[in-house]
Amino acid sequence: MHFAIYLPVAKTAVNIFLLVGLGSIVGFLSGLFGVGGGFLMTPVLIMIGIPPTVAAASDSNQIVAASASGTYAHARSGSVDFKMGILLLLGGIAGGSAGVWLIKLLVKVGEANFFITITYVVLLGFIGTYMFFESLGSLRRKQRPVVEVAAERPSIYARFVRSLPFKTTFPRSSITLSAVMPLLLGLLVGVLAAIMGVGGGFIMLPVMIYLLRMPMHVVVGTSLFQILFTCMNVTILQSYFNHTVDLVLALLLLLGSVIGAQVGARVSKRLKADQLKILMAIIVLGVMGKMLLDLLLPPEFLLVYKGGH
Amino acid sequence: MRLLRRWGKLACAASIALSPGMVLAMPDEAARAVIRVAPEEIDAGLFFDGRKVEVLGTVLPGYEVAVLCVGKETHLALKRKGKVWGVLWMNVGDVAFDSIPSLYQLSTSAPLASLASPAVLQQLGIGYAGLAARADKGGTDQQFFPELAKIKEKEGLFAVREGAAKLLPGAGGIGQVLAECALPPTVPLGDYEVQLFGFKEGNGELLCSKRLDVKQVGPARFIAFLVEGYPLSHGFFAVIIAVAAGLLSGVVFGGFSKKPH
Repeated sequence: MHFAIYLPVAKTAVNIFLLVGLGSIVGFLSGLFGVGGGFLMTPVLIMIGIPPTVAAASDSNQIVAASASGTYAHARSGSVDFKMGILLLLGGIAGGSAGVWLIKLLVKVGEANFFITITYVVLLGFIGTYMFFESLGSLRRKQRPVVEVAAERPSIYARFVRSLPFKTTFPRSSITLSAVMPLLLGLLVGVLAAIMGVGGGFIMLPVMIYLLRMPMHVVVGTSLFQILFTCMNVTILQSYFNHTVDLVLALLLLLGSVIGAQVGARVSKRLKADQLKILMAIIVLGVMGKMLLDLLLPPEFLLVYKGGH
Repeated sequence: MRLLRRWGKLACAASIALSPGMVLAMPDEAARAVIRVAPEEIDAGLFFDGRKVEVLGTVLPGYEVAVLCVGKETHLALKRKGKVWGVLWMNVGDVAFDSIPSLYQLSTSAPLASLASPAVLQQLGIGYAGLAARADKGGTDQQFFPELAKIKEKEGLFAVREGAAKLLPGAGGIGQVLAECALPPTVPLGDYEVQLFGFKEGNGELLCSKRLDVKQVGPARFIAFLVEGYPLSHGFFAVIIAVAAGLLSGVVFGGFSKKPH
């Protein structure tokens, strides 16, 4: 293989340009949508021969760079709600720990893997379909922003949110709600993310849009801010406990991703909120479709190494 | 063209055999075969992309040969995929093998079936059937070995190449053995053994073996040392580099833009 580089932790050789190119595509998506991109990058890395544990850990390290780059770009334009981000992060860290404990329990009960995958497919399918049709309808009608339309309907959820204590204002997002809400939702996403083994970016996004009613332009930057700290934590823990962070792999990926993230952040600013949501919905549905195909089509091999996805 | 290539290889083998440092002693009754591997030590640096190892040997007349490049045996745990509810492919159980070599590349001078009986081959661990029997002694997971072999073949770690070892007639009827091991970039670091088996009149035996060493060198070795020796510092270092790269790109891109949004 020409231009191949040997990865000292993954212990395999991969084409340099393939890694940089892959990094730039995922970085672009990261800057555009505010997702970490682990759901896309990790399977591709595994496909090109990186051991699953090294792929997931090194990808976290790469996401640190992409999300730092993206957060910086969004912070400059004032589209990061730091207050909301910190509350979501605190909930997410607690939820992540609870999720790790829960998964151990599920494994003991048996068939955990089956229920996790099914939950993932159903959840992604529901979120993606809802986002897609809601944004499409909104674009067609060219009505007022979704945030206001949704707020007009008094639902059980709205009444529940209003009844919560510790109300506070989030000036960046121009909303007032209980501080308990982001903590609770962060916790929920943290649990789901830990169970599913992903960063949770694309579960967090719909939560911010539909449950916290944050304006679209703040959602992407705030999500990246939260992902930055989550992945910093994951990288250090993976390096310390599992020795699975491949610095050479991460460096090549981040070389592409930091540039991709900047381009993505710029494109993100030019798109309308509903256009962005529709694209996001397509990505979420794409991931769901891929997982569904993995479940339905016969696998290439009937055995997989333990520790894989 | 093919003939030329064949003669070229033969000439190459002869020149290596006669060159200083690579002189192959002629086998005698006490040592019925002699082999050399080139190189004996492989450096896996930052640009390591796998390596072909030449195996040269001489063997007394009348033998067919098998050249096996084999790694250390380890326990291997896997998940088995199966259908749930008749439609969904999921992990449905565990499979474990007691001793699977990290590398198993076999080249023979003749089809396996013509070398010796299945029982003899199995006893020597020659061929996948023998390997499967060793991998799960008395267990029930042997049936899954062919699937594992397919995975390992795709990784480039396992291969059975019948007829790929050349056995050419030399002076006095001494056979000249020429084979190669193609180590993929995924080859685990450590010691390997290149073994030369001889088969005569339905019997087989290990005639001689050579050690082969794959070790990490240069920056790759330094990084691996950091990862294993100082994992916490390595983790912080990785995060600092990533944040710095992210912010630097932000500053560079921000600097080029006319004004922030």
